[in-house]
Amino acid sequence: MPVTMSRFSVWFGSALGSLLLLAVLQAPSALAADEGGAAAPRILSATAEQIFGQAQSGLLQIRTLLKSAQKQSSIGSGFLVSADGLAITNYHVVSQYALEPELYRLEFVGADGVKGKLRLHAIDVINDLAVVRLETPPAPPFKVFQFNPDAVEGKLVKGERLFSMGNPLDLGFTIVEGTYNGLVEKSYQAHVHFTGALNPGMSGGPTVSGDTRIVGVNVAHRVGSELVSFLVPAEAAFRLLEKARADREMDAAEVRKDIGAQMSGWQADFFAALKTQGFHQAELGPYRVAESNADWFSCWANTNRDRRRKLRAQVSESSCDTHTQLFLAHDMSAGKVALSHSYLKSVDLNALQFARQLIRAARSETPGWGPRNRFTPDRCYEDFIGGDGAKGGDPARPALQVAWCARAYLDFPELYDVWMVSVTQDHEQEALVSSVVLTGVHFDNAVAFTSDFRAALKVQRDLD
Amino acid sequence: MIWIETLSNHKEAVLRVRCEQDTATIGRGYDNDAVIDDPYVAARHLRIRRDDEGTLIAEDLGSHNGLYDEAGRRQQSLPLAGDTLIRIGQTWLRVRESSFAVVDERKLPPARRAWPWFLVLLVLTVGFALLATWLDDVWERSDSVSMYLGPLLGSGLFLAAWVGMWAFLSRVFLGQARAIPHAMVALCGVMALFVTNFVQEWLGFTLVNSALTAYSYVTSWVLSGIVCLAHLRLNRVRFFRRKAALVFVLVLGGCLLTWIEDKPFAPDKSSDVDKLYRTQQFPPSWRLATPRTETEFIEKVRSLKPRLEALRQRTLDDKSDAAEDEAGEE
Repeated sequence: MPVTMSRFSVWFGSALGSLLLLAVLQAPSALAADEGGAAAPRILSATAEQIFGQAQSGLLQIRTLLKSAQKQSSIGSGFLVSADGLAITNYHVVSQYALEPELYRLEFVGADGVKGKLRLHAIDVINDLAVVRLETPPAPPFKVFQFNPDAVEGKLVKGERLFSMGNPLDLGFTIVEGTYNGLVEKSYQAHVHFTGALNPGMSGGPTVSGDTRIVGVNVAHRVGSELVSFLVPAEAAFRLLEKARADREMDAAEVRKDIGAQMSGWQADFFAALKTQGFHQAELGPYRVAESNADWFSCWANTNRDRRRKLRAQVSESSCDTHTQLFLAHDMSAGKVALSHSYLKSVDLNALQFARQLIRAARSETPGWGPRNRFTPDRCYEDFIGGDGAKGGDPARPALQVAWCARAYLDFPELYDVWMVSVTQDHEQEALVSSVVLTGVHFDNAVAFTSDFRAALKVQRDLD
Repeated sequence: MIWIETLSNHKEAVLRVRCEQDTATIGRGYDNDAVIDDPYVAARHLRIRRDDEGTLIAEDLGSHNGLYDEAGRRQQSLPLAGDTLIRIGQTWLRVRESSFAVVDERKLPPARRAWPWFLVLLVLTVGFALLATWLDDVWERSDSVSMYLGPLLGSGLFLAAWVGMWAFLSRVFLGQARAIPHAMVALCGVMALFVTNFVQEWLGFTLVNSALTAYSYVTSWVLSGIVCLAHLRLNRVRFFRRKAALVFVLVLGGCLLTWIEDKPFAPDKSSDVDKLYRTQQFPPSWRLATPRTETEFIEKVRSLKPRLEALRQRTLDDKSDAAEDEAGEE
């Protein structure tokens, strides 16, 4: 994760944190003028040429058209996986159509320029996959992609040469050479790390091994990096295809229901996994907080002590994010877990001034929620808790001032976005401001998680 | 002996003519006892005489524009008591006998010097303003005094303009500017705003009641209304009750306007996030509320769920209603 990235720019920015999903939402404004040198010597990658030749007839460009304007609203890629016209692409390529079929329609364009309608058969929002059926399959013979058995079983070795195909930026079908680099480490989601140039528009395109068999589905590349790209593992695509063969066409209500069910299952698994991994104690001044043992949390620390010349309060922050945001729609994602703690200690502020410093810190922890049309308004509860060491409670637990807020997803019952900000109330000159942001969770999971989070907040101060 | 008085539109005497006899004529011509420079007044317009019972009578001498009583009715002749107002052309007149009883003289107020109190108030207000800035001065230690002086100067200029306006009105209608009493009213208002604001923020924190802070604009509007009333009182305006009622309506209107903009607890309010969160934090020792136990807190939090579910259902129903309406129109 780039260090310079602001912590809050990612709340509801592009899904998967700083990953850029590879569907093009708008036509590129300008194309590079240099369209290739004239008399460069012809050096061919024989393999790539051969693979592209074989695969070409099975490649699709997938367009989402705005019905009222008859113009494309987003484009991606896809590939045929059955003789009767089933094709695989990314969920995010077809999400507009999936959620609002009355506003959008789906269209494919084959490598030979033939166009046709698409129907949605199955989606997997967790792995960002969708299976669509061509209303009129192209005239045979055409390429039907097979899965690489080693990839499905996860037995590929690092360094294997892979070839990724798709239609980047609506410039025409291309093939890109790259390398398999295993599964992305420290990630809850299984993603193949592909070192190769994936560009917007190639989303949903196939990445194949030398035998033209599917290893993964193009999904994202990391902004600000060189050639760091990601694929959905073949196994997920294989499983979804098996399911899709039995399924019939889905309408919007079924899509919503399916997404809701998938998210529910996902978040249940995620919180269970989090619990299994366990927590360890971390220190921030006299305060003790819990940090997850799970290695899929990426944590960053930050202090103002090196920055300000005349400090009036020292601030040390630590924030952890799972980067598990799942794309649900271009303006909605879920599955984020972000935890942060700011330890503030007054240098020369009096108690009243320090309190004002605290409210600023607490405010900066409130998330800037995204679009309102997909959620109910927030509802919050604020109060003081605890500090009841004298009454037989845990003396190490400081009194807290807590604001706990939630909003419900309109499209998916049982799913909520929840955030909590707490400020410790045990000292006039130092405090811990902590926050939790959970998106796409069940209410009870959020209640339990935030309660555990509060319970883990302790203070250990030497008695003077 | 009688006095003929020409009055301004505000019914204040601007000219008095003394007539030794009990009869007098009034008009624009120079052969009258009282000469009125009003183009709507006839050359010989009005005669004042005493009838058999000794009452003074005003008589129209056949002018084109006639004689009017205070209520605006045209009269041929009118008996004149000492306070009767009559109008000829566009000029108001009053006729009084020399025996007219005037009210007792008003007592001079005891010589009170307002300015020491004014200075005390000024120092207090400036102190409050500086204190507020100082409390919020929490980031970097500021070297320059401009951070403190800037807002002071700004609000100082505003206050000066406000006081100036009232003093001007006072000067016009009362003949005295009374700038210092007006300034004292304004300063008291500002201090009251400071104090109530601080107290409200503290109550919001300590009682964990967001309504106090959410509706703090009501206090501000009411205080502004009270300040306006005090200024009006100082200016001894006529029809004080009517004007007070107007101020009341304005305050109510202001509150309503802010409420419409704000709607802190309206069901369709987009988000609580920027509002509900209490507006100010105070040191732990300033807290009065007894903290809840973890269990109580969780119970309260759980009660949000049915509220959100209801909200969700209502939003979805509204949406489908809207969709049906749309479909119906097509």
